[in-house]
Amino acid sequence: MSKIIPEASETLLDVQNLSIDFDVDKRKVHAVQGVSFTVEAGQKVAIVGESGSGKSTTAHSLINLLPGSGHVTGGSIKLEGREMVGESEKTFVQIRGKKIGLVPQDPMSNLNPVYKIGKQIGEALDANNVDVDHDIVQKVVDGKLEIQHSDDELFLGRNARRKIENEVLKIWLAEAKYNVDEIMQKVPKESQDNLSLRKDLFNILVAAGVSEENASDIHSRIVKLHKSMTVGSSIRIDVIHTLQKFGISESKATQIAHEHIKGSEKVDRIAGLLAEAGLVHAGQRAKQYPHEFSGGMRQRALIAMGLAARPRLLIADEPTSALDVTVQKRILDRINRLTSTLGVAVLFITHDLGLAAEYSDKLIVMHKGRIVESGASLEVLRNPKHPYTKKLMNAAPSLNATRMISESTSQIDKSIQKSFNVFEFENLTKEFKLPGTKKNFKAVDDITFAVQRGKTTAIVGESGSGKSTVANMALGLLKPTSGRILFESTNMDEIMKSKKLSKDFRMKVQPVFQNPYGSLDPLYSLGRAIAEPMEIHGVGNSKSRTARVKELLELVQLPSSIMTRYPNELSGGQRQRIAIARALALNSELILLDEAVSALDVLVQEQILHLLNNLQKELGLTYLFITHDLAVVNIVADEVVVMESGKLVETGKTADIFKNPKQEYTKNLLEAIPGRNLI
Amino acid sequence: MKKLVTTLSSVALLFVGAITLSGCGGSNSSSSDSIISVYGCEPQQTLVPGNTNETCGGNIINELYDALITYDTDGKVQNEIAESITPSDENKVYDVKIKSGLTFDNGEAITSDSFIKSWNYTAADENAQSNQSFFELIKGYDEVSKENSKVNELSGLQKISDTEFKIELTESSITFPMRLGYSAFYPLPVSAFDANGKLDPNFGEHPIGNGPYKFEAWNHDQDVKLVKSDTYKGDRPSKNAGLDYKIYTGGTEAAYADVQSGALDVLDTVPQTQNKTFQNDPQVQPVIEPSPVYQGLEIPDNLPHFGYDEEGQLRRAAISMAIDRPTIIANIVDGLADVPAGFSPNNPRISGAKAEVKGNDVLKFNSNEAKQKWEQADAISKFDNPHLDIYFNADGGAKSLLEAVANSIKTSLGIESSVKAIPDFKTLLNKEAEHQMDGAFRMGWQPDYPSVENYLQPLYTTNAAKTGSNYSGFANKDFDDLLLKGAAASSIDEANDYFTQAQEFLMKYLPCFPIYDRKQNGVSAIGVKGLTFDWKSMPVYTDITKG
Amino acid sequence: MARYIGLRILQTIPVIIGTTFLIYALVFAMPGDPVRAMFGNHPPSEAAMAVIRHEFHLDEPFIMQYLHFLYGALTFDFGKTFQGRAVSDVIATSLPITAQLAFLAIFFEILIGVGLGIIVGVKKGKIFDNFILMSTLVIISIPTFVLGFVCQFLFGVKMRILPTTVGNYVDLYHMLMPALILAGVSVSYVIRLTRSQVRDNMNADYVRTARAKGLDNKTVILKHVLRNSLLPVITYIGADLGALMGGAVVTEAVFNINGIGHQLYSAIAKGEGTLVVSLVTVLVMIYIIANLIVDVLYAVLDPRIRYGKS
Repeated sequence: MSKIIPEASETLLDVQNLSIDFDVDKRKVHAVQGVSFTVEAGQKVAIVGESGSGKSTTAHSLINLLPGSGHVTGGSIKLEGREMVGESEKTFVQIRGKKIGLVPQDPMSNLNPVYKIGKQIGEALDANNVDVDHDIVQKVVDGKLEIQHSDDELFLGRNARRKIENEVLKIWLAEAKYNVDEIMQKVPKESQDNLSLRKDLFNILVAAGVSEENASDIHSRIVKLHKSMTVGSSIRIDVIHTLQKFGISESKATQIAHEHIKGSEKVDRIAGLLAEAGLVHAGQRAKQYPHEFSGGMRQRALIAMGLAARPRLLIADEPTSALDVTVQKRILDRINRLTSTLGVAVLFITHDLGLAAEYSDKLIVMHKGRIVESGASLEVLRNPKHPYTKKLMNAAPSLNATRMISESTSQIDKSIQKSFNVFEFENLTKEFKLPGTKKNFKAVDDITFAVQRGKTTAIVGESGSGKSTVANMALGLLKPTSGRILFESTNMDEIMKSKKLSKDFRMKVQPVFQNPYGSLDPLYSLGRAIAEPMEIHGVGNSKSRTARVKELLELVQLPSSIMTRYPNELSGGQRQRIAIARALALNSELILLDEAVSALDVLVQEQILHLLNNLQKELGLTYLFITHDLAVVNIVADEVVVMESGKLVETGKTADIFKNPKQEYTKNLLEAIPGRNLI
Repeated sequence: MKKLVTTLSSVALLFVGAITLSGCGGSNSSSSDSIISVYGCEPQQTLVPGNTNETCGGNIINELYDALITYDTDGKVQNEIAESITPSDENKVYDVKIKSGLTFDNGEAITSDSFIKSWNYTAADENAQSNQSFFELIKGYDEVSKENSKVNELSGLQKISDTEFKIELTESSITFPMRLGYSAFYPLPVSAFDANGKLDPNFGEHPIGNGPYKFEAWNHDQDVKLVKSDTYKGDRPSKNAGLDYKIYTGGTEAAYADVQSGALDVLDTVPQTQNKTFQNDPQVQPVIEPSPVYQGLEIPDNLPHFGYDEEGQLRRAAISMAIDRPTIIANIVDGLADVPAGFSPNNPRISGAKAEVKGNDVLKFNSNEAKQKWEQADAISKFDNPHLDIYFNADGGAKSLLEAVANSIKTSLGIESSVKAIPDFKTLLNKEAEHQMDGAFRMGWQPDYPSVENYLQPLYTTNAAKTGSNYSGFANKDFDDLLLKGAAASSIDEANDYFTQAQEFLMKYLPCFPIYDRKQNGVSAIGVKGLTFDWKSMPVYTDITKG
Repeated sequence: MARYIGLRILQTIPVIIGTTFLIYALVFAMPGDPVRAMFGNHPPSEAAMAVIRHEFHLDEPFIMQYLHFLYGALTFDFGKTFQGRAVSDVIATSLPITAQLAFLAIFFEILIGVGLGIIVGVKKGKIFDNFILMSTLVIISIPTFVLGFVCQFLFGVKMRILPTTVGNYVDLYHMLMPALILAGVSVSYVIRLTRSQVRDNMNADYVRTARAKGLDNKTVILKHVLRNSLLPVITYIGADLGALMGGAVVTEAVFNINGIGHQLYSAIAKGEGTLVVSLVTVLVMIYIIANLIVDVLYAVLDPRIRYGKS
């Protein structure tokens, strides 16, 4: 039995001329101005913009969860035809979770650290008075929303599953022409009720008189059946279909299902929700705390929470920005599938144009609080109309397939002979002793590759791949456990032992780190920060150093007046420029960039990458570029080293790797780059 | 939320449990109207008369015991337990007859042994009793007080019968009977001693006495309860049903607040902070009477330029006259003192006290004369870097007084004078006793018996440097002789004449100069009647009534 | 966890030995002869004083005195005070009183401190908030004894609604005012701490997520904000217990409470080494136990913290 909800034929969300202000230090900041858009039932809409564009603010205003001093100053928000602007908090409490769900951005800080995951999901169920026995399945049929609600939507409970599996086991025994009662008598009493769950089922059956061939067959089929039914998630109608797939007749399947499936308890439903979100061993995981989960697992928990009450609209606020790229793909795929199945509309907030395009039907581009362009995703992608959109497109690494070309002129003195390879890593291994375990942890396992002079070599890998450890060893901050590193044909060991050699080394190799806010001492003026390396190495005198600082600032395209200012006055991008200037202070030959652009907005990122590229051409710099973002690698690197769990997976020229990846893992990584397939 | 409630409830339960377990301390039903609550402090030792020499214990013991003699309002000796005390051999031997029929609280008769056993015990070295030195006049004292002495009986005490005994002294002393009122000479029940003459160690926790009150209970640091003795036949029966000494651990401030709110009946020392206001405080009844206590400044002779030679005499006189006593009295003690008359306060209850002692202009403020004298002293021997440091113990309350004195000296003489703190009383006392002071210090005195002799002999005689409280280094044979003559006199009046001469003698040397004679002040709560003080400035507890 | 607690308890032993030794040394180093001071201006003979010194081992070298003490402590005989009373008796009478005072103060700390702190933290009204901030600042700035005397006079003498002193009456009615005074500074601090914690947590991401789930304000505050906000507050209160017990000296003096604080003060003034060290030992133990309880409590309340094997 299905009901057609009349109001479902109206637009689900209709935002008109929305304006939002913040009160900052007695000034009014117009965070959102005159924004209008719609979301239909079941539709997937993405809002794309850089930080400060107002995309998050808009999304949060829909459920009246604006932070701090934010408030809506004008416009209308109609949810299912009902005006929401000006409504009381009580009203919003009602719609939150039930009508509109939220999957927030940072998985660690968005989960309460002192409660178990299961409890937090349970809260979502309780707060919205969700019926844990039945599922709510919404389907969009001909633009109309159908909500089905019948006993066919009863959830499968733990006990029910156990009993069903037991019955099926008996049916299969009977089909194999065994006397079921006889066999069951020979089964030890304590195993009789949970036969299907036992790992030693095979042995028990054989001991009870079943032939080895039959026992093994039944065992493997039971295991498959077990995996196909999810407690708290599969509904009765699903179970019936599943049983049929496993060879049970329709009438028998229906009978079994009706007999055993009576609905689930809350704890089952919680496990079911987590399983839907992709969490393995959901039942056990529900009893754990957030800090025991990995980033991806936490995000799945948040997805489960957002969908727990089966809302009509799900706001996904940068749900994957804190995750590795392969995990990102899985999560987004999951959200996509789940929301499609459940008929939930999605409002997807992101800064990544490629991501937005791949996972949404409609794309809205926001810039400085206004909508600059909107339309069908593919359309906007292929024919951007607004100049800002065009800029974003050009800057998005995932949407660009080629290496950046610099137009600067080279200033290298070609007469000086230098080694071909700046670094050579041979069988490099690093082991760590972990407290509490006996085995050592191999962070880097037998890596061999070389860094060519004048080129950009990228080490790419997800978190835990060991790339940062390699970087630290290259900088001489960690000693390898075995293997060796040659810097300009000299063994790093020797360099580090000798005072003079190591000092020279430091002048030649300089790092730029990820966090622009952490790498500059807030108490140093910018001029001093840049001059510091020169001071330490005793290069020049105060006057010459100041001159050099001015030079460097020019190189990184910052005004020399900035010398006397302090880090807190600069933006992230400007700070990275300062960090780069500092790295160049000693005329270094190799710059190690450890996720140097990962924290920057896409347009700023593009500028910095261009800058680096130009500097490379002008000064003959070698870059060792550490990153997790394969898309960036494509546009900046000449050589690529792919790492996974400490091991080297694949290495080669960028173009080769990207066109013809040889290893499975590399293929997965490439698959995960959003938007690649769209252009 | 559940955790918050649980935490709160468990804390509350804990607390309630603790409170009820304590048995509510002493919230016994309020004592009958006739029990007077008085200020008390925890006695330093247990309540053994021979071992108590401070006021906390003394105030209590005084009510538990009667002595052989008592004093009338002129400081003259009256017989109490004694029937008669007959001197002979030029006041070197005294024959004591005890009244018959007198008993202790436990019914035990008061006999000669009650005195002899108790006195022997106190005098013997091995018992380490505080009041040991009071027996130094009695023959045999040297033996019992020698180090590691095995002798523990005074040879000068001879029992004649149960109601008569003889006391033989080492030298004549006409004032000896006056000393017999001091707590060192109280009798103790014979049953409290074992066969070897040792006092039962628990006696002090449950003393048995013969005074107007009987001991009831002592909760350490909390209170001491006494009830009116129904076997008492002496001269000062109690008009109230008993005394409840509430022990205040933090001083008299809290006690004063209690008197104001009616929770305490009698406070015998007004805290300094209330000096200005207590006389006009409508919530208390103030009592002010002369006391036998004075405050003075003592300069030891080991200070350069301050010996007892001519130069030193001039300087000492100069310092004394430089002190603006009237102003200090007005400001520091809010007028609750008198300008000194001599080396004992001009208190009619003290035998031999004089209103004016010849030569006492050195005790009067006169900055011109002070300057003159100082210059004269400089003429004899120039004092480079003239200064006088004054020491005080930080845990006492004398700082403001001594600061005022120092300022006075500075202003009048133009020399450097500043106060220096020594952390606590015992350290200061030690330094004084070891003659290690390099500055002046406060000297006050409370007498043990009401005679001028007691203001002179323990403080300024040569002997007193060894066994008394002479920290000034003053040792003058002529002075000693005057006192001996006084002790050997044949009448109290004659003795007092000698003592007056001794005072006049001291005016030249001024080992210590009194600054003021304190007035005793106390308060009682509204509704409490009859608070007065005796010669020793102890409240006459037996006269206090309420309701 | 059991192993962790066991280890912590074992650790207390070297701490106590170290502390007692240190305190004993300090008392020993104090100038002045405590025996002479007992007698004031009427000292007995040198010989008599020697007897007393011998009785209290004061004529022996420092290390011997300390060992005497240690040996006695192991057999729970802490010696006698100069008055002749057993030290354990002194502790047995005064410790429970101070404990009651401290517990009552803690009770108020929780009730008023946490209660008001939550209210101010949640409500954004400026007026009430400023009022609370100002008054807590005032209370923190006023020395305890001033506060004590003023309240004693105002409520005890003038208005007669509360008793002026405690004395023998160790019960709730009498201990009310002293406990409030003693808790004064701590309450002010707890209010501020709770307030800032609550404020921070009200803006925390996970609180927003909780709201996004559809939880109403009351549930959000009680279940999410409170639990996380109270963790540091509980730590502070637990540690405060030790401080309150040792630091009640002033309050005890003003209100005539016969507790450990006063005993300690007069023991120091008189130079009674054994008594000082015994009292300090007791206080050290209380402090250690209070801290241990707080640490364990923290582990119980915050699942991120688990001691022993991870």
